[in-house]
Amino acid sequence: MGTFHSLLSAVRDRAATHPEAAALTVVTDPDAGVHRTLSYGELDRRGRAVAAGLCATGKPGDRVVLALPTGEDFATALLGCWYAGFVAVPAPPPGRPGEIDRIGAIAEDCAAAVVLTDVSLSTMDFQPAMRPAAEDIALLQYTSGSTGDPHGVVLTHGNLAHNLAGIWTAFGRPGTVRIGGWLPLYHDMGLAMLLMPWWVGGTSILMPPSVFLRRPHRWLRMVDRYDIQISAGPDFAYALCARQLTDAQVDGLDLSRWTAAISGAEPVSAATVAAFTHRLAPAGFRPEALSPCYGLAESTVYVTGAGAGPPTVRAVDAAALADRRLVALDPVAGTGGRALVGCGTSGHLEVRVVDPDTGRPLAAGHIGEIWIRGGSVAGGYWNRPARSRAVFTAVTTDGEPGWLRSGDLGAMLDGELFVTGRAKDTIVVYGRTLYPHDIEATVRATAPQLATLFGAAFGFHGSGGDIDSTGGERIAVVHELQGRPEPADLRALAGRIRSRVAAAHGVALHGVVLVRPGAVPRTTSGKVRRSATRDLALAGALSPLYTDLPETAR
Amino acid sequence: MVQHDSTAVRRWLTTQVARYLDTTADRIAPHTPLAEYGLDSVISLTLCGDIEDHFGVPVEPTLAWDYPTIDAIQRYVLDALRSGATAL
Repeated sequence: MGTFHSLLSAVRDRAATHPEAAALTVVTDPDAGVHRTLSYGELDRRGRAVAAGLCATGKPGDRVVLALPTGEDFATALLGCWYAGFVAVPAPPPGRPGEIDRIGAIAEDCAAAVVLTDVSLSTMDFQPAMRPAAEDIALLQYTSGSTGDPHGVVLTHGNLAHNLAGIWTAFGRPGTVRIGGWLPLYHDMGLAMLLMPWWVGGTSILMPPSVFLRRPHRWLRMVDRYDIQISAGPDFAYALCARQLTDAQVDGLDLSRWTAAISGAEPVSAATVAAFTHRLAPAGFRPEALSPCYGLAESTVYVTGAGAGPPTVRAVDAAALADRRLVALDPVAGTGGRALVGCGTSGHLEVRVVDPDTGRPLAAGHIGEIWIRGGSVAGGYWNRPARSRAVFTAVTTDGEPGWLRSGDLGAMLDGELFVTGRAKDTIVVYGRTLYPHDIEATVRATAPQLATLFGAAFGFHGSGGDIDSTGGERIAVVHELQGRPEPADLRALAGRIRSRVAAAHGVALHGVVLVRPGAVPRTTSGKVRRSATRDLALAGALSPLYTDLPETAR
Repeated sequence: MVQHDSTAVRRWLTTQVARYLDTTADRIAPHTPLAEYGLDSVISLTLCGDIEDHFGVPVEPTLAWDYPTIDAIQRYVLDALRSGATAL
């Protein structure tokens, strides 16, 4: 393979030339400076020990599920898999029942040889003989969400190398490299926070997600204290910081050295951009550091990003938006507009906006499906040939083959990609992709009056798409109900539905609508039409038996 | 050590939860599961951190599942304060 520069060769070279250099620092309390550090030499040594253990239990190409928390074990197990030629499959660490189900679903789907929930190091050594080929499978990235129908994106060492090089070209700066964050490592953007610094011999600085979620200011404290230049989070994390930080916490921060605050994994809200930039300005946070990005696991992780300059926020005509056109409004006009944040450009991939029904490439200003082509794009889903063909081998009407269909909708405006929504029914909350049928199954199991009937879960935007909307997606569910219960019983049932969904999926329902049997629209083949149901519900046109969908949603 | 009575603890908890859920304290009933008001997993973890910081008692991340109402959380906090448990 000679000239192929893989992540693995980067790590091995660094371990050989600078064994004392820090590869990973795990921070558990940034206020007090509590952390542990793993050097490249130690990472390499432990990785080889894991590889020796794996070779005793399986063979190269076998899948190894890494159900491990953020920490050294995940890092060494990942490297061990690659040294031994195994396929790493990141998964959530066991915790709540939902997570255990998910690990089981992933392990079953990929026919895993091993599920690691902790790491014991073999006493034997292992000498990685060969460097991987670009087409060798490095990992399966299971997109978050569905337990009923998990699908793993097959990523090769070549995909990883191509994407990391793309991220580095967009956001890298010369000098000491310190990159990190708190996103879980089974999340594609979280994994990038571990691997990106390794690509260039730098240090990954990670915090367990629960440390951030309990005290959001600790993320920013970590960026400051550990001198991190690049850190990523979903929109909600920036919103949480803008809302939660006290004046004293802001006063104690110096964020002037944070060069790339990447916002990705969920739609970037103009309100969040403004609130975060304003709230953290006294801490020296620079508006141009905030970098809205677009990406997806099917293309490793990173597709487009806004690098130099502050984020582009454009007010667009809401009526034209519904007509699939992106029409920028005069910045001072204000009313009837929706504020959209630009997600920049791609230096490493081809990005096109295409009519999802015909495959015809669309001109700038027209909304269509975002199609992607290039070295970061995966070969397909694990063991899903039909679905892989449909998603990964699209052809445009001008005869260009090999495009990935993202399922996301957007348009180009002044050379920049604006993401406007999704062509598929998935819902994104807190950077997690949720699948409506999982939520519908939970709802259906709440009460016998719902059991055999139809329902639709869908996402909607909080305040009717006004210009100052916070942009975060909310979830509502419409479900058919047998019989004619009393209003008080309906209210109690709605409460139980909310509790069940919160317990099973960790998310809140912002609207429960109960309707008569047959009221949920379906196709002739009996499939629930979710977007039609959403339109009817938001228009108040369902004649519900019960609804607590907020008026502002309509 | 600061003395906390049940009314004060309840009032503080209700105010925090109302703020997270963008509502007012009078709309949060002490015996209704907080999940019914829209308390999700992210908000409940933030609440854990706030309780630890405010009362100085350790809180498991599963707090909102183990103690699903304001009333239950209030009893947990008071018990922890009485037993003298302290957070890290």
